[in-house]
This record gives sequence, structure tokens and C-alpha cells, in this order.
Amino acid sequence: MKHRIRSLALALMACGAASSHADDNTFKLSGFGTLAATHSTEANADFVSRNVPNGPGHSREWDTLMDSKLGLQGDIRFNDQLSVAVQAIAFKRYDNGFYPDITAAHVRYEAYPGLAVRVGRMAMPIYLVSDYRRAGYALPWFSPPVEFYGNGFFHYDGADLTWKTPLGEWAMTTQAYTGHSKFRNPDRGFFSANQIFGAAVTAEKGDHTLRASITNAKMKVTSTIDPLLAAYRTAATSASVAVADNYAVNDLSTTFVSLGYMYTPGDWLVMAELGKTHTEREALLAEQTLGYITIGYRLGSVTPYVTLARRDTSTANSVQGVVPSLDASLNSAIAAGDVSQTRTSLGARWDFMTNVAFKTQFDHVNLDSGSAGGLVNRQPGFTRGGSYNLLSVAVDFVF
Amino acid sequence: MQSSAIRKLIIALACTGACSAAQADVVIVVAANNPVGNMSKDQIAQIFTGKAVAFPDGRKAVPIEQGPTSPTRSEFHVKVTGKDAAQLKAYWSKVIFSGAGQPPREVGSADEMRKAVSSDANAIGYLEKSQIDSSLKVILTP
Repeated sequence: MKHRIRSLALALMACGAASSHADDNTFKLSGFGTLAATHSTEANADFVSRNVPNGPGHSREWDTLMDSKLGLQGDIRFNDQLSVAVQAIAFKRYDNGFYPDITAAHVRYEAYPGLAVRVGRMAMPIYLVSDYRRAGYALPWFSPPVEFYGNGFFHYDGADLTWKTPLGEWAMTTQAYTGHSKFRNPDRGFFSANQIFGAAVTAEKGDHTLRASITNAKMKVTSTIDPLLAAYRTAATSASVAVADNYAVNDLSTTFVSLGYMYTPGDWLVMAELGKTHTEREALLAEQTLGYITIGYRLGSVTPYVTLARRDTSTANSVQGVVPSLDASLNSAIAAGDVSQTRTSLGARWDFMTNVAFKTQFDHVNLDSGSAGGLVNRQPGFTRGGSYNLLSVAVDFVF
Repeated sequence: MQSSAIRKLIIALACTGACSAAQADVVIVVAANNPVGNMSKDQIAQIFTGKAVAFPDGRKAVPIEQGPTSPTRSEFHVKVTGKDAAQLKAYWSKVIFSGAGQPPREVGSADEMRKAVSSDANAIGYLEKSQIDSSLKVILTP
């Protein structure tokens, strides 16, 4: 795999060198990167911003790999209609290694002006900034709100259709997508989303951007309660098997809806999103309500901002009289899956030179009573429902 | 950023109405034979940010930019898209790295802009008011 990626990158670069003398637009190599460091005040657990096995807190005082990355993208344009894009990003992976993942590899065909189809691997467009969330330079924050963007489903293999059309004074973009996606969790194998069907509508006018999206997928996830569910299956009563079937995230139809808003008149910056996740039956983290709002104001080359974010998760845990020796453990294991939290952030972006931005962010995270807030590597001294702070710095660049 | 603000201030102080011609005036242009009429700032901003792909009459619109160091380019963006160089770079980064598209083609000089726009009925570009000739049609003076 690593060899394939390296030869691909070399081929792309050779191609770029070969065509760089021509002034047509046949090949373009671009890239982005982030050098980041994060400190957490929670010493009894690790904060993780996404799918990595450890982070700042218990494992280390400052983590410099969790949000650092280097991305390279080659765009080949054959004519007005046909183009190909390949993107690889090296970042810290599920196995603690730092190496590239092919994050995009697709063919794009523009059948009519404004109507394009893409086939191959593409970034998942579930939420407002999902499909460029790793390109730090394109984001106002140190990193995208973990409440929305902490999951590992970054790219999918499939197809999408994009249609741009005016509606009065609004520029409308409608996107429909389908495919499947999987990623490897640090300690629970592959997580997959199959039969993904989604649509997003973006309306833009002047400084306003509105986006609504809906995505449904069949989720298959190894969850923390699976060993207990196996015991229910072994108990082999019809009620216990029903519990095992019900709580297993196995081809579980899950729907994600979101509403996003962006206001970018130049000096002010407002970004807000609301998300709701719903599963067809009760399962771990069945219902999630997510939201954040960021308000920033530009002072010359510096843009300070404040963010308020909330993640609310709930799962019914009232299994009673099914397997008396297990019911209490199952209920408390389900409750332990709660990751509800409220986060307040203060940060700033400083565009101190061309194509390079410095960012810093301070987060105060309040965990709901009983919630572990997505912290991992929890030590015996860790207390649920507490609070902790994060301090982060980053340099983002594009080329 | 600051020096250009100071320069504008000096120009503003030096100019007392009579010499307003000395101040740069960007105009948005299409080929003289392009049937499109006047367009609004929002419509033009949408074309130059890839959010719209056609003129109001439905014909394909191909935006053309001047190079990154061109003062006409910064003036155009400040007045029309409302973005400074860093904001524009951040905007295109999100478009490029999400695989949604590429920024407009760039030309190296006002001369090239004049040629590129006047020879293509789908093209739309911008120039200083003093740089246009009869091969071009102004559709907005922002």
C-alpha cells in the first residue's frame, strides 16, 4: 500500500514536471499541511479529536501528531468536461503510525455547464465543512468542531452528482451521493457505512450561505457493549436474543440531518450548524443532537473568534427481566457510552504571511453528568461528568 | 494591507474631486459581441467564486483572473467578492481540496486579459477603466 502511494505521488510529480512548461491547465499539483500541538488538563484520560488511539492528557502533556498532517493533491484536466483528482494525506492513523491515506481518487465529468458527476473516492459531504475539514488553512478554527467532525468516516467510494443553478438571486448547488465507507478503529476493527444515500442543498447569496443535508447509511460498528450482547445471545431465550439483535450496530439504518449557516461579509464571520442523528431502533448513541455557533471578527490580519458547542447523546437503557445476571451490567455499559458535553472556545487566526496562517485556541469542556465525553485511555482516577481545558496552537499552510 | 490603506488615504487627501481620474477604477468586462446586459455585483461575485457557471441568459460564463500580484485583482475582489488575498486563498483551498473545482484561469497582464476576453463570447474579466477599448463591453463599474 505504502509503495503504491509513493509511486502514485512520484508519477503525479513527474507528470507535473513534464507539463509545467506549457501554459495550459492540464496538470496542477497543490497541497496543504498543519503543524499542530495540543495540551489537555485532564491527566487521567486522553483527548482525541478523531480516530486515533491516544492524544494529549494521560499519554502526553503536549500532543504534536494528532492534528498535524500533510496533504498532496494532483488535478489533471483533460478538457472542459473531464478531469481527475487524486489526494493523499499523511496523518496520525488508528495504529499510531503517521503515513498517508488515499483520501480522494475520482474522475469528474461535467456533462453540461453546472452539471457534474464524479465517480471514485471522495470526501464525505455530510456536514458543512466535512469535505475539506482536513485542509486547516481553509477553516477559521484550530480544528473543526469535534462534536460534528470527530468521526472516522472521512471518505467514501461511490458517485455523486452536483447541479449548480440560479434561483432568483440565489446560487443553488444540489448534490446527491451514494456509496460505502469504512475506516479502522484503534481497537475495535473496521467500522463501515454501507448503502450511503445522501443529498445536500446549498443556497448562496451575497455573504450568506445556507446548507441542508440528509444522509442515510447502514452502519456496522463493533461497539463497546458487544461482549455483553454475546452473553445475551448465549442465554438463548427469545427475549435475550432480541436484546442482542436490537442493540447490535449491525446494518443499522442511521439518518443524519443537518442545517448549516455561514455569514462571511469580510470582517465578520458567523458559522453555525445543527445536526440530528437518528437510528431505526434503540442502539448505542442512537439519538444525537449536535450544534455549534462560531462568531469571529477580523482585525487586520487577525481574526479572533468564540465558539459554543453542544453534543447531546442518549440511549434508552431500561433492559429489565431479560437476563437478571446481566441486565444491570448492560444498562450501565449503555449509560457509560454517553458522550454529552458542552464546549466553549476562544481562538484566533493570524494570516501572518501569504498562504500561511497561525492559529491558537483555548477550549473549556464541560462533561454532562455520567458522560466521558469521548475521552479515551481512561485511568482509574478519571471521573465522569467533570471538566477540562485544552490549549492548542497550529501553523496551517497551502501550496 | 496597511500600506495600501495609507496609500488610499494619501490619494484621498491629495485628490479633491478634480483629480479623481488618478484613482484606479476597476470595471467588469465581456467581449463587445457578448449579448449579456448589465450584471449585479452579486451575480459577478458568484461567477468568480464558481458558485454560478452561467450568464443570466443561461450561456456558459468563463471567468478570467489577473495574477496574484495584480493591484487590479485586489481592487476587484475587495469591491466585488469582498475578500482579501488571504480570504480568497482560504476560499479556493476549500473548493480545491474538497474536489469541487478549480479557481479561474489567470492571465499575466492587462493586455492578455483584453485579448482573452475580447476573443471569447463566454469570457468575463476585469480591467482598469483606462485599459478598455472598443473590443470590450463594461457590464459593471462597482
